[in-house]
Amino acid sequence: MKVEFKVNDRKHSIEIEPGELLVETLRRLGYKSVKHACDTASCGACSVQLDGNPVLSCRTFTAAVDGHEIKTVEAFSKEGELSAVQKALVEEGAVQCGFCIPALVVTAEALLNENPNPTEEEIKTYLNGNLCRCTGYVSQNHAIMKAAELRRNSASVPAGNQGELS
Amino acid sequence: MLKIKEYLRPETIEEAYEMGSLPNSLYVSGGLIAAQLKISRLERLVDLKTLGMDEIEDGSIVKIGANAKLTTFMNNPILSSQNNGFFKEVAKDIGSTQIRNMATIGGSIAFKLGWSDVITIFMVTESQVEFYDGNFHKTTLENFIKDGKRDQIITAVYLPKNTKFMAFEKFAKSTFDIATLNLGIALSLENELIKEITIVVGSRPMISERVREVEDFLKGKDLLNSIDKAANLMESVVKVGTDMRASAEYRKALAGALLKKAMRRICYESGIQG
Ligand SMILES: Cc1cc2nc3c(=O)[nH]c(=O)nc-3n(C[C@H](O)[C@H](O)[C@H](O)COP(=O)(O)OP(=O)(O)OC[C@H]3O[C@@H](n4cnc5c(N)ncnc54)[C@H](O)[C@@H]3O)c2cc1C
Repeated sequence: MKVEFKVNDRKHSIEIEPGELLVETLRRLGYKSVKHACDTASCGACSVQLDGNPVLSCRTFTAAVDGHEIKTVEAFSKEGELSAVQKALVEEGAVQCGFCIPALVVTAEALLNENPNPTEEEIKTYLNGNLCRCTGYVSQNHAIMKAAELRRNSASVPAGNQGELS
Repeated sequence: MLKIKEYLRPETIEEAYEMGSLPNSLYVSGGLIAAQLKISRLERLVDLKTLGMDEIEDGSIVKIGANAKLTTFMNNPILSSQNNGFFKEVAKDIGSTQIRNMATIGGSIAFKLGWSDVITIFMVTESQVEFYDGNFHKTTLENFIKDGKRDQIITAVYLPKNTKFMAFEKFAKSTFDIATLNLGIALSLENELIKEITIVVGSRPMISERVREVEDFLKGKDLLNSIDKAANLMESVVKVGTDMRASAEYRKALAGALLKKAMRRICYESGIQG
């Protein structure tokens, strides 16, 4: 069957199997940052944004995203410039093996869009479906707090002066 | 990938029911369960999300469309302001952000999962289920669960609006694990005496069930001073089983402990001093 959807603002019009899952389709299209991992809807490494909301691509039928918009981690860096979340994760040493990080970024970006000033508790609750076996989460939580502050500050700076922050 | 022949996107409920009635068809909404089912003879999925049915409508009873996501349920302002924020509080402990963004109210009830928190929550609130099987029907969730049929399409859940005190307790091995046991309680008070009461225990590991012996015992009693006796009674009457998560004996003790916790929470919320 044929479906049409956007990934990171790029339109795809492709043939799929009716029972195909989004993680399989995205990886076939080259979006290898989307990980095929636990297969039990538990680890969150396959998370992508569907119309802005984080979902598990291992449990989303591709046929169901016909006409919708997907975002993977690649959507958040612009021309090689990392997003505030990505920069903060690097600066806080919150990335070790890196396997879970693309999905963590996707989920954290959605959190900060919904709630620009989250508490540490709210971060923990929002991200409890993104498992990480390396970092122990403390540095990731700090990084997201830091990114939230950076985003709030840059949003409050007049447009012409934004370059000074980066 | 599921090896199926077609993925259908019906436009009307009649069309959906017709497609779902074909042999080897399965409805899908959020897909969390449907995508993992290993049914070798499955031929077609019928996507119910194309039917809309995702609104939450205010009224003397709140109508929740079957395709409303758990996230929508959790963040809905009508529900958030009801019963002291009970619904928002309990929904945020179900699964993860991603799971709540996918799981629908209809899908959470239709599969009649033993460990469902959603079923315990709606049963304790004495909600009604609307479903379609060629005609529309409405019945209590309790009756819907007892009825073994699985071919109807759930279209909405009706949640009564009231000022009852509510508590939900879940014991799980981690924040993101399914419950070893869950318990819901809803009650109204008159001069610190219990007037109306509903108690539901779920993940027993069998499906959620009301515990009427304990409800009857508590009616007319002083809330604060009947906690220990109610917990002892719960342990002796609750019907539980053994599985890989816990033994029946352990679940009995847990049911008593969770009831105590829930009743104490309500004492605190209602300002009854201990
Ligand atoms: C990792 C994980 C953790 C979870 N944790 C919890 C938890 O803590 N507490 C809890 O309560 N639940 C939990 N769940 C269960 C989760 O809530 C259910 O998987 C989910 O609610 C199913 O909803 P869905 O919309 O994805 O259903 P689907 O997978 O789309 O459908 C489920 C079943 O219901 C049928 N169906 C779907 N919609 C309808 C309808 N409207 N009418 C009739 N039939 C229909 C389908 O045919 C299918 O058989 C968890 C699930 C996972 C995967």
